[in-house]
Amino acid sequence: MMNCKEIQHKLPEYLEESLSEKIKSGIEKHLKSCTNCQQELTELKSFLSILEKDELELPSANLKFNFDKMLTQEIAENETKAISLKPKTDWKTFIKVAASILIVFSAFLLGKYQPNTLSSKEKNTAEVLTLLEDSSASKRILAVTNAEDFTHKDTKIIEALINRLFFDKNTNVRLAAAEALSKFSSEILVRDALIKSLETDKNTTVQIELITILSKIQEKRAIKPMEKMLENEETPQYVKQQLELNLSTLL
Amino acid sequence: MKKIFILLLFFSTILSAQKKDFKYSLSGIDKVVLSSDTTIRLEIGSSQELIISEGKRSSQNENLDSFYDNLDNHSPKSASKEDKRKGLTAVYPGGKDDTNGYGLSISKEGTTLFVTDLKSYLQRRGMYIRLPKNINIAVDAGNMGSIYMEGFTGEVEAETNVGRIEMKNVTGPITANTSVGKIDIDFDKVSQKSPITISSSVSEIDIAIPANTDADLELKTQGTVYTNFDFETPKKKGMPKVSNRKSIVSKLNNGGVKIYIKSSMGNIYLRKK
Repeated sequence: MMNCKEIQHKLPEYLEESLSEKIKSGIEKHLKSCTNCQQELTELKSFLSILEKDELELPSANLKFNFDKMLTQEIAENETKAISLKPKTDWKTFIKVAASILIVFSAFLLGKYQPNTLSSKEKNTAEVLTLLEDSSASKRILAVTNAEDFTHKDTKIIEALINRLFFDKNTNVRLAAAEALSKFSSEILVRDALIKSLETDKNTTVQIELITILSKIQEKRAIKPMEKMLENEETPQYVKQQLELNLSTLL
Repeated sequence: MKKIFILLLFFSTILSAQKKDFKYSLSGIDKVVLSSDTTIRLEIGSSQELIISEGKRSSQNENLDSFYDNLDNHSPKSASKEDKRKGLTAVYPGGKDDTNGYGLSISKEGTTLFVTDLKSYLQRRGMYIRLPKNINIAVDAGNMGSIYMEGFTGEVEAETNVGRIEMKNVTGPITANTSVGKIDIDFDKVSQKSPITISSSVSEIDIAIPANTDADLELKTQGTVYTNFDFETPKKKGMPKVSNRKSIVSKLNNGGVKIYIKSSMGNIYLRKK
């Protein structure tokens, strides 16, 4: 025997008449005796009838027409885009390729043309500056003697020569730098460097050269360091001899 | 079999008794920079190697060496030098010995090899070094050392203070400087690659070059220049005397590479050969 709860569960199926005869007769038998379930059945019936009565709301024909119109329009638009885009991209890539070729070509031309556009003066300066840093002492001397021929005052060259005078490990390069710098003795920068070098250079050949140059250009500020060297016991006799000789022309 | 064994033993004792030359491969090296405070003798070797051998040791120096060893030796039981040094490396203020007992440090920078003496000149009795013929050499003999070299065709840079500089059968480019030592250079031929510069403070400079050398010559000294070359003497008309320095400038044959010889006070001898 089915209870009320089970009956009420099966009621929708009962109404749809999808139940087996046995269960159907069982339900009918129960319904006759149970008012509670009868009420449940009528309520369900009325609910279902409302659902059936409620008509499916359909969109108006106008809406469909509008939609179709928009769709065709959209399709049409998409199609035209696709058609118009294709030649456009081709044109862009062509430009890109052309531009890159142009860049490469112009870079090549620039590289080939540049040495010609640089004046021979600038070219020489660059050459001399590079050669001044060469690992071969003989090449550095060559660069120093080439730098001597610069008649115009070129600060870069002068600074590079001063750098050689102060820091080159090879005595002959420092010596050549001192001789080259003596040609630019009108520059205060050069005069300062020559005095400074006299105070610091330990090589006697360079010292003697500097003493001669400083007295030749009549640099009075050199008197003090020269007198100091003269007093120094470590100064060799032959350097002192040069100092005495040149101090007499300076004083 | 027994004979061979005895022979092997014999040779091994000879080898262990003799101090071996130190060798260092120079592949990829185009310049060797040597610095020491002792006399350096450079000759051309048959291989692409740097070969160092100690100069001839006099008995006096041997005594000095054992004197130093005795200073170290506080224990009455005198162990042999080899035993005491076993498993240890000599360390000097200038660095670590890289040459297996020769007391030199060796370092490489690009294509340049730096060989630096770590021992004081008091512990040295000269050094004998062999190098390939065409390598570029820069050698600094410090305060006390002299430089002797023969047969090199690469570029040579040489510096000494009181030591002599003597070169034979070289071609240049040469860059040489000394303060007090004499310079004596005999050229086989003169390379036109780059300038030759030879300078000294007080000493005489003696140079011999082939008669057919093309060069631009400049000689500068407060001493006297002696030569058997014919110099074209430029007319000094209207040239003011700028200093007491006299500089002789002349072309040799067709002119060419610059040869600059300068002695502050010494004489210059330029010989034709």
